[in-house]
Amino acid sequence: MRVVSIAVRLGTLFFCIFNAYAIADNQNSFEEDKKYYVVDEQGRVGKKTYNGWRRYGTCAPCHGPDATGGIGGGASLLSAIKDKKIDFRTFKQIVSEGRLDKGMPAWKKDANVNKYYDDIYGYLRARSDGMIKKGGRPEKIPK
Amino acid sequence: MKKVNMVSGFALLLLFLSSFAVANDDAARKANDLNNWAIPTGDFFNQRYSRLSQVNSGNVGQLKPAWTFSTGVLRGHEGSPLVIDGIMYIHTPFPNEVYALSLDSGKIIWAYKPKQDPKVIGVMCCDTVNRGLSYAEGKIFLYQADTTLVALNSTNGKVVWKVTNGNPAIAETGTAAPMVFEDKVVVGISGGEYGIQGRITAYDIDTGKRVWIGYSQGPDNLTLIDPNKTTHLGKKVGKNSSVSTWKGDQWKTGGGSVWGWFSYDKDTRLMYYGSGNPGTWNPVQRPGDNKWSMTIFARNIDTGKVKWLYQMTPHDEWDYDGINEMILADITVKGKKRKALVHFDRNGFGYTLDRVTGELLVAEKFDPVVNWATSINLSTGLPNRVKKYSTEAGGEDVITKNICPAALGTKDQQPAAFSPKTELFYVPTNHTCMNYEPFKVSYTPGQPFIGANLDMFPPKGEDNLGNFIAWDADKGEIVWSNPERFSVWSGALATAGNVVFYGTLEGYFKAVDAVTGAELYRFKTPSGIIGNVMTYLHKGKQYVAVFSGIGGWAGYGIAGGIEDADGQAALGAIGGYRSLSQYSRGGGSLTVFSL
Repeated sequence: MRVVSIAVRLGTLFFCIFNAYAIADNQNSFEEDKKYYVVDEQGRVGKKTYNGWRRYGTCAPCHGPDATGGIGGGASLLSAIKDKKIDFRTFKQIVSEGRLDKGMPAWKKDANVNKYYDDIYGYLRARSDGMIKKGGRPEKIPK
Repeated sequence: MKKVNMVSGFALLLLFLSSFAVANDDAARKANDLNNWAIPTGDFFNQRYSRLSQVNSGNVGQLKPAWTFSTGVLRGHEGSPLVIDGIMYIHTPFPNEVYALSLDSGKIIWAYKPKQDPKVIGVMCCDTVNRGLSYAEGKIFLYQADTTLVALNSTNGKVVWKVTNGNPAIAETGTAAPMVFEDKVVVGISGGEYGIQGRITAYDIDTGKRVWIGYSQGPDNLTLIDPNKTTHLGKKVGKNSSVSTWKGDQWKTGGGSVWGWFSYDKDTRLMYYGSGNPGTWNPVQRPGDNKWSMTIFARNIDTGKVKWLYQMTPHDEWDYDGINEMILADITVKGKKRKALVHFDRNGFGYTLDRVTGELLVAEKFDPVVNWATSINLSTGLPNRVKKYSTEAGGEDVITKNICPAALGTKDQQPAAFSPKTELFYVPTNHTCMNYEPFKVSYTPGQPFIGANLDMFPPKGEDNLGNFIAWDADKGEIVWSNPERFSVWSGALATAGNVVFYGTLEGYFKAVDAVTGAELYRFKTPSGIIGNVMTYLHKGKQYVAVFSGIGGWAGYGIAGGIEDADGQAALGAIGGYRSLSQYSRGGGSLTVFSL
């Protein structure tokens, strides 16, 4: 009895520690994933972030031109990224596999999307973080 | 002696009669009857001219709405109703319902409500429009958004036959009006923004059996081009004139869609139409002239074979689709009476050709701000391009600025009219310029294959986005020009009463003097007008009618529910036409006017 309860307590301890690392790891990576965008103090963007805006166009019919939800039925991506702290890995997984039960197709075979997961995430993350204030063509950082 | 004369006389009579035994003689006779508007384009020549003069420049100021009809559908209402023998046939945008109204009682005699998968809406680039119905021999023809071509019994609306012309799963859709020429009903195909293979297809009007398909691009057996017979500005085109101007297999996603208007001359037995933009909008990705996109085609109606063609914008860099109407008119050009074809292209040039031989006679700007080319060389047919406005020269990932006209052109599908009385063409135009950034894209079936983002705006220093003009196709000159706040996106009607009618995006139905352009009447209808004005006689009284219901490319913001989106949305139309939201909401109705 005592051995079992020690094992249970140890198991629970490991479980909690493991989960604590996992949560911390997730929060860390969400923090780290700011690296996917380049935006200066004036709201001007780097080349890849600009490309992210362009490639986002594929998502606009469902998620809205401003990524705040669209008549195509798609969710607001800006709220989702912010509220659920969606990191790049999670984002890539959702986009490539889709959410078939919700009517979102899998994009892993579309070369207009599957080559640019990082750019698209970067653009949406920058919008969500408030670094780019609104939708529409962002201004590019001059060379 | 007498017997021989009788026999030869009888033989001659038979010959004479047989020349009229063409299946659409019925449609032609109905169209000639002033009580009717039996052909969507007014007549086979696409002149949109009525011999009615009861309403004329003297009394049109007294016009007033006589009755109205709400279609029950929203979004862009293009095209016009037909009127045949006291019945008006009305069509709608998606879901493409058809109503037969009695002009006596106003009752709906029958209705046809097709069942279509609403997913097709998502792959219609420029709103869920439909440009109208056709009629022949007791049948009404409808070309649905999902590319179903259906023949309905005009008396009771029952389906006589139906056929599927394309594949919406790869974003092929239907928006253009089917046209009946001889014993065939001809349809195009939409989807140039999705890398489809543009083509025109002829079906037998009695059975719905497919007779021929003429592709815009591909090897000669697909395009129905004869290397030794088909000519381009008088020269034989030679073998594989299309594929030799594309890199590898790119012609297979080459667009060249056919979504505009078709005209027909029974003397030449040729039908005339234009092809749309090559896929993609990024010219750097598709080297070559991209034939036969942006091309005027003259095809034999019996076989589909191309007699002549002319490519207006080789290696397009701006989306200047060649699909606008080919108006046939017998006019004097440079001192000689000609069987002419007049075409107001997206690229801003008004062309006059000989419709028998395909010779190019005149090509001049019908908006002075056009800047991507300075002129057209009449012997080679080539535009003299200006490098500053070349999106190819600007390069991928670079915004080439201030190109005029914008992608929606100096005129889009909204059709012009011709008056044989004034010998002038009345043209609804757009007055816009753009910034255009091409970028690399890959082809995925059913997904957009565009690779460009745009901003649209009026020309520098001006604030009007449109003009309604009168054009002399002999001199290649604007005779008069009425500025309009927005692009004039409706089809014009010219009449023997010396009045020309059109509608504006704010919703004004207008009548102007055919000679001077002076405005004689206006009425604010419930919503922006992108339909085509038509006219008919009923119980001896002349009526003039037009659809209201804002939409189409220019009105996409309101029709598509994205008017607050950023300026580059809807291929730049949201930014260019943002102020439309201060003038119109969505709608769907017909207003019929009389004295």
